[in-house]
Amino acid sequence: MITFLSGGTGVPALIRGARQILYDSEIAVVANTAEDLWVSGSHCAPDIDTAIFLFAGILDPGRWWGIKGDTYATHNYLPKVAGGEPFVIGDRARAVQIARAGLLKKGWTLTEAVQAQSRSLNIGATVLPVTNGDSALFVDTGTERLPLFTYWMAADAGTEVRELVRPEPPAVTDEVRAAIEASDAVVIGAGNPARSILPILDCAGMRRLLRDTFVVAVSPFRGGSAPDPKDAALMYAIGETPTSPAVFRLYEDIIDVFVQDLHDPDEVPGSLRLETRLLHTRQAESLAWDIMAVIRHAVS
Amino acid sequence: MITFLSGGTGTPKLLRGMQELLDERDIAVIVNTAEDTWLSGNHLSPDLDTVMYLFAGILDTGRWWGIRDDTYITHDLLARLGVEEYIAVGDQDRAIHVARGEMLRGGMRLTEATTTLCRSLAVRATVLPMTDSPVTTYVRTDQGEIHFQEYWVKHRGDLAIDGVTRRFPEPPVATGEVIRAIEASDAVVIGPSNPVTSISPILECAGVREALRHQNVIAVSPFIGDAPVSGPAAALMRAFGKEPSSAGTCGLYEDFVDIFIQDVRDPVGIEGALRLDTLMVNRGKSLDLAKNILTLIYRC
Repeated sequence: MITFLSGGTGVPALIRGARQILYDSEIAVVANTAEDLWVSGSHCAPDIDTAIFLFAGILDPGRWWGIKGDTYATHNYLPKVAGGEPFVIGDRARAVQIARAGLLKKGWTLTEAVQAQSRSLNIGATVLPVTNGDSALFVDTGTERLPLFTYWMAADAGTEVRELVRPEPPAVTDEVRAAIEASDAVVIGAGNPARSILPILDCAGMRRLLRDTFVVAVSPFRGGSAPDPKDAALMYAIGETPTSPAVFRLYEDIIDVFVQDLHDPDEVPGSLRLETRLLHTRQAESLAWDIMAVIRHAVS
Repeated sequence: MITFLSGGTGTPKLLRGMQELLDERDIAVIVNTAEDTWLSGNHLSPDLDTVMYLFAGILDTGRWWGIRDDTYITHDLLARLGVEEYIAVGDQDRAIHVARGEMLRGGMRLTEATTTLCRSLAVRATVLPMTDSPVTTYVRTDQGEIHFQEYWVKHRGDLAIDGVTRRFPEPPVATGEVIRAIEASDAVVIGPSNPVTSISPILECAGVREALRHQNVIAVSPFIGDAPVSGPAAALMRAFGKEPSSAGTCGLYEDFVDIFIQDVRDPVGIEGALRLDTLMVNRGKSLDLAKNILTLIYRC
């Protein structure tokens, strides 16, 4: 089994490529929960939902979030009668969020709720939230504290990010521990470290777990080309630059292979150079193939 | 100004006629909230919504609840995810529930939330919940006490019941807005709504009966013989310890009612009652009854 640490839109693209090579039953996804929030009375968990929708075959492949062909009747009617919502929620996505909220209110853990949802959507892969604890991140803009996902979806690109406010790191779940221990390797996809990956790595117990496992990480930054301004702002907020060497430093103690883009001018000694831009399905499949080859070579 | 006590579909059908005869700003409606519930994370208030939607011109007048031409995308997917909402919540209807839920979570009183929603929906009539604190009608069945909406909507009234109870964290008190509306009116009209589940909860709010005793009150019976014009009133009246007839209804209102109206076809004789055609099967019939009642009030 291969476990992916996933958050944002970079990792799901790679997972889609990996699905061409691995059976879903051989894939586990540990999803970031730092962007989870309650909105309109239901439980929004963007990274979990993206993974679930991907394996259910209903992910909107244009945006890498939400359900393809979804409608927006409730969301569009809300501003007519009240304040509206901070970001778009489709009618079908809302049903998934309401169902999960109902289970959480009944006292289920997030892991149990996600497992139940995976079953009802007939998902073959294992999708696990990294933790059942409170791991929500907030962006301190100097004037207010925005939930991370609200910042990402709704704030102006120029919004200042003074600080990423995080709770005391909660513990990884036993299910995550078991999945990683049963894996041949863990792949950290090209998610933004500040937004998507560090919130996973910071969960108590995670880094130690990864030190005992073969780990391949893909850098989300390619030097030269300017990264998304919010991606950059979040990196600067944790005192890092949006570059591959910075990402490498953040992961150094836990990874075995660091993958950076062929064209990245910022040299990381010992890194594996591959085409990491996943604009087409074939590029994702190709990157997944190369990573699997590395893993097979290393663990056999 | 005329104030109406409303719940279910009886009074709304009379309001449909009144709406054409009066300036809407001269109409106040005190609405039963004992069927309110939190559903799928948000606030369902069926009787408030029916009255609001009626005045907003968006009511589905085939069913007398919900929004005309609404869609059910979220509701349908919820069912596939194993979440049975006992009432079919439309997607636009859900936006109203979400908006109200958010306002109540934000600490707003139900009265204020209703006023805000009415303003957004361009409702000019004054729509007032009977109280700002939660109170819920339960019916006693041999499987225990269940929410009235569950009894009526989910089980379609097809359960033996032997009692009606009201549950509340603190005894409900009529709002200042409700008492002032009653006092400022030329008359108060109780439409042919269910006496047990729609009107009695309003009368049980502290201050209402007292205010009504000082007012000119006209009540319309929902019964013809021992059968209500529509709905589950007969079984509920028996469970409430009252005779399911105009006589039983009149008995519930006797301490404050000035004119009691029963249907021309009603075999039950009540001394002093006025006989009118109360079967509002279409818009014209609603208009006729409304005209007759206005003649009684303004004697012209």
